Amino acid sequence: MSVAYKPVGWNRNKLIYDAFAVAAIAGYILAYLQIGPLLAENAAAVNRPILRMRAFGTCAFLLLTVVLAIGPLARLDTRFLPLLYNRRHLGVLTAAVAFTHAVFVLDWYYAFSPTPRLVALFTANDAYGSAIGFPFEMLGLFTLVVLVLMAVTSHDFWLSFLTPPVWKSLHMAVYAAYGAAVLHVALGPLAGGGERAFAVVVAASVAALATLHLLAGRRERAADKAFDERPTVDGWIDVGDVGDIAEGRAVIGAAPGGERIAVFRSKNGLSALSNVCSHQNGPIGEGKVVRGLVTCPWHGYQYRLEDGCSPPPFKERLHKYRVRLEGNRILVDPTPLPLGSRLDPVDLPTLEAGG
Amino acid sequence: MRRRERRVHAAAWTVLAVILPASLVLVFALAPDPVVERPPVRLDPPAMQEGNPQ
Repeated sequence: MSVAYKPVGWNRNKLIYDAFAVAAIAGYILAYLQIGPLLAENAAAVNRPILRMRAFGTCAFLLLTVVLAIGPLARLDTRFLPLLYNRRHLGVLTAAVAFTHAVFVLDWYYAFSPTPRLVALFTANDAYGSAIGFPFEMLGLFTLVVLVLMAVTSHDFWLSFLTPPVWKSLHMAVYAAYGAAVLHVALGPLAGGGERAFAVVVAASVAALATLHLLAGRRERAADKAFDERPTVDGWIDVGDVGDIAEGRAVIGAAPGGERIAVFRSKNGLSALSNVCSHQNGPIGEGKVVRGLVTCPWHGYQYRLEDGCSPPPFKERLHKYRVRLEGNRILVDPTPLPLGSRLDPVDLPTLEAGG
Repeated sequence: MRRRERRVHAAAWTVLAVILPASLVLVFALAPDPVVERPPVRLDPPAMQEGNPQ
C-alpha cells in the first residue's frame, strides 16, 4: 500500500527477491551459452547468435512457467505465498527477457531483408493456412505484446486507473499468451527438429501448469459447493463454530451463489468482512490480524475490523456484514452493509474466549 | 478471487489442458524429420554490387 505512486516501493524482501531472480536469470543464460555447447553435440555446431537467442527464448519460457505456477501453488500450499507477494517483479523480468530474445531474432534472421525488419517479420512467411509451416513468429509476437502490456500496466497506478475488473481481465490474457508461447515453440524450433531436451521441458511445463491450475480450481469449486450447502437460519448463514477460529484468524463462509465472507476473531470479538480484497481480489480470510488490522495474504493490504476501511491516508474499503452468535455457532447476515459502515465486533462469551 | 473469476479461470485452464497437449502431439506427428546437416535458415545478404562499400 502506498499513498503516492512510486515506480517500486523497495523493501528488504523485494531487494532479496529481485537480486535472486536476476542472478538466476544471468546464471541460466551464462550456463546455456558456456556449458550448453559442451553437453549437447548439436549445440556446439550452432553459431553464437542463434545460441544467444535460444538462451533468452528458453529462459523467457521457463520464467513464464514459473510465474504461472506461483498462483495455484499459493492456493494449494500457503508456504508459496511469499512468492506471490513479488510475482509482478518476476513478470516484468519475463517480459524483458522475452523482448531481448525478440531483438536477437530480428537482428539475426531479418538482418539482410530487403524490407525493414519489422515489415519482413510480417511478410516473410504468409503460410497462415498450413499447420506445420504456420508463421510461428506471429504467435511469439502475440505473447511478447501481452507480456509487455502486462509489465507496463503492472503498477498499482494502472490498477487504480483502469479499475480492478478491467485490469484483472487484461492480466488474464496471460493464459492466452502462454498458449501462444507453447505453440510458438512447438511450431518453430521443435517442429524444425531443434533441441529435443527442450521439447521435454515444454511438455513438462504444459502438464505441470494444467495440473496445478485444474487442481487449485477443483479445490475452489469444492469449497464453493460446501459453502452453498451450509445451513441458513432466518436467512443468516452458519459459517462455523467459535472454537474453530484461532485468535487473529478467520473462518470463511458464503451465501449460496454469493461471494465469500470472512469472520475474524480478534481481542475476544467477532467481525465479518468481505473475503475479497479491494486490491487484487485476494482472499482476505486467509490472512491474519496484524496490529489490529486485517491483512491480505497476497500483497499485505490492510483494513480496520470495525468499518472495513484501510487506515488513513489509504482509501481502500471492504463491505462489512452483521454477525450474531447462537450458542457457539457463528451466523452472518449475507446482505453487505454499505461501504464504510461502522459495526462494533460481537463480543464472545467469556467461556469461549480461551477456546 | 470472485466466484466469476474462478469460473473464467477454470474454463481457461480446461481449454488449455486439452488444446496444448493435443497441439504438441499433432506438431510432433506431422513435423518432417529434420535433416541433420541442414544449416540454420537465415535471409541471405544481398549480392555484392559494384560500388557497394561493403
